[in-house]
Amino acid sequence: MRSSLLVFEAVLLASKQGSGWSVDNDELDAVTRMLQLLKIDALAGRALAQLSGGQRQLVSIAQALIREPSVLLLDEPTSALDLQNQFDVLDLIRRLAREQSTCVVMAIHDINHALRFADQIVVLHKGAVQAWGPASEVVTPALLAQVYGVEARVEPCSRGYTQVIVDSSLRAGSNAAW
Amino acid sequence: MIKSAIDNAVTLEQGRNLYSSLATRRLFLLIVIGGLAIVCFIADLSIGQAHYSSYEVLSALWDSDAALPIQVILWEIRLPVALTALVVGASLAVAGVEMQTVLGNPLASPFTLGLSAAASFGAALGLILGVSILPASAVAFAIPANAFLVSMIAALFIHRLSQKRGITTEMIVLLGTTLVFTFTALLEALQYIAPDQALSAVVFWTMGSLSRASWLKLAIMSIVLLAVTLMFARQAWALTALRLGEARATSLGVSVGRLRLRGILLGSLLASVCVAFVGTIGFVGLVAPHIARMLVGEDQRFLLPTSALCGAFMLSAASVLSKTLVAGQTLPIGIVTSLVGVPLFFTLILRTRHQ
Repeated sequence: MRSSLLVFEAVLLASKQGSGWSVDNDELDAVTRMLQLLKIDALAGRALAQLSGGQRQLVSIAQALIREPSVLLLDEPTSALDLQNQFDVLDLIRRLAREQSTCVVMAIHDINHALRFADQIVVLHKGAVQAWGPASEVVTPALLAQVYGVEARVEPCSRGYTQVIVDSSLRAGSNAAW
Repeated sequence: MIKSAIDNAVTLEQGRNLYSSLATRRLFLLIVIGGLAIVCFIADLSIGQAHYSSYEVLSALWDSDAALPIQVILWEIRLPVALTALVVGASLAVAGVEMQTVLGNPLASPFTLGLSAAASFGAALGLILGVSILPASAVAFAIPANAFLVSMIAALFIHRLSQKRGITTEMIVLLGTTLVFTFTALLEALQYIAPDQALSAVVFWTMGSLSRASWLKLAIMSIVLLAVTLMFARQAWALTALRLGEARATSLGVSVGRLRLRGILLGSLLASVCVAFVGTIGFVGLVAPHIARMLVGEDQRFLLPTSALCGAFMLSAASVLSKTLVAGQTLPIGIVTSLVGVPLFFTLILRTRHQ
C-alpha cells in the first residue's frame, strides 16, 4: 500500500506526534524553515512515494531534526546522498550539535567523513570497542590495518584536514598482480 | 528555532498556504461526502412500500399531528432502518480504515479478516442447534449475542497470534483469510445437517439485512461507534505516522506494536457489534476507506471522518437501491453492496495500475 503523504505533511506529522489535533502557524513555519535548512523546500508539495532515495533520506533527517532532540541517533545518514548533499547534511548536523548542544551519535562507514566531522570516534571491531577517543588520535595506520584490513596512510591534506588514503588491501590472495 | 535558518517571509507564507489549501480542499470533500450521505438518508426515509407520498411521510418528522399510520411508518419502520444504514456503514468503514492502517495492507477489512464469517457461524449455531448463552427472556438478542461472541473469539485469536514474535502484518492478513475458510466450512457443515426451516433462516441471516433494526440496537451500535472513533481520533497523528513505515514511525516515538494491537481489537469490536445485528455486509469496510484515502489522503484527522461518512453514504445509497431495484420488494442489502462494490473495486484496482 503506497503512501500519498506529502513532504510537508510528513515533516509536520513528525513534529505533531503526541500533541493535539489543531495546527498553528508557528508549527507550519517551523516545518517550512526545516525544509529550507535542508534545501528541500521545493519538494514541499511532492508525495513521498515520488521522491528519490536521497530526497527521502533528507526528509527523514528533517523529521528527526524538527523534533529538536537532545540526543540524535543517525545510522548511515549519508548512504543515499550525492557528494554535495553528504557534505551539506553532515555540516548542518555538526552546526546544530554545536548551536543547540545536541548530542549526535552517528554510525558511518566513510572514515574520512568521520575524521572531518566527528569530535570523538569509537571504532567497533568484531562486536567489541577496538579504540576510542578524539578523531585524530584514534585513526592510525596500525588500526586501519587491523580493523579494515588495508594498508593506508593517515596524512594531512593541503588544507590541514586529516585524510585516510588506502594503498592496498591486506586480504590474503589479493596482491599487486592485478 | 534554528538560528542558522534564513527567515524568508515569502516562503513561510507559501508553506502556510500549501497547508491551508490542503486542509480546505479536504474539508470541502468531507462536507460533500457528508452532504451526499444526508441526501441518501432523506431518500431512504421517503422511499418504501407504503402508499403515502414522500412528503407525507417526511412531514411526520416535525408534525406531531400526522396520521397515526404515517407516524408508525416513519418512527418505527423507516427511521430505525435508515439510521442503522448510516451507523453500520460508518462503523464498517472506520473498522476497515484502521485495520488497513495498522496492518499496512489494502486488503484488510472486517470481512477479509474472517470476522463476518465467524459471526455467521455464531448465528447459525443459535438458529440451527439452538445454542444460546442468554436466558430465554432475551430471545431477541440470542442470535446477535452468539454472532458477537464467535466474532470476538476470532478477533481475539488474531489479536493473540499477532502478539507473537516474528509475526508480520502479511501473516496476520493470511491468518484472517484462513479464518474465513474455516468458518465458512463450519457454517456449511451446520447447513448440511440443518432442517429446511432453519436453513432458510441462516441463509437470510448471512445475507445481511437492515430490516432487523430497532431503536435499542441502534443505540448500542451508535455508542460503540462513537467510543471507538473517539479512541482512534486521539491517536490520529500516530496512526498517520504508521503510513511512513514501521521503522520510521518507531523512530518518531510511536509504539507501533501497541497501536497495532489496539487497532485490531477496537476495529474488531466495532465490526463485530454491527455484523451481529445486521449480518454480513461486504465491501463497505473494504472499499469506503479506499475511496476516502483517494479523496483526502493519509492524514487521519481527515481520513477517519471521511471514511466514516463514505461508509455511511455507501450503505445508505445501497439501502435506497435495495428498495428501488426490484419494484415492490426489498432486496437484502448485503447483496446490493456486493453487486455495487465489485465493479467499484475493479475500477480501484485498475486505477492503481496506472499510477
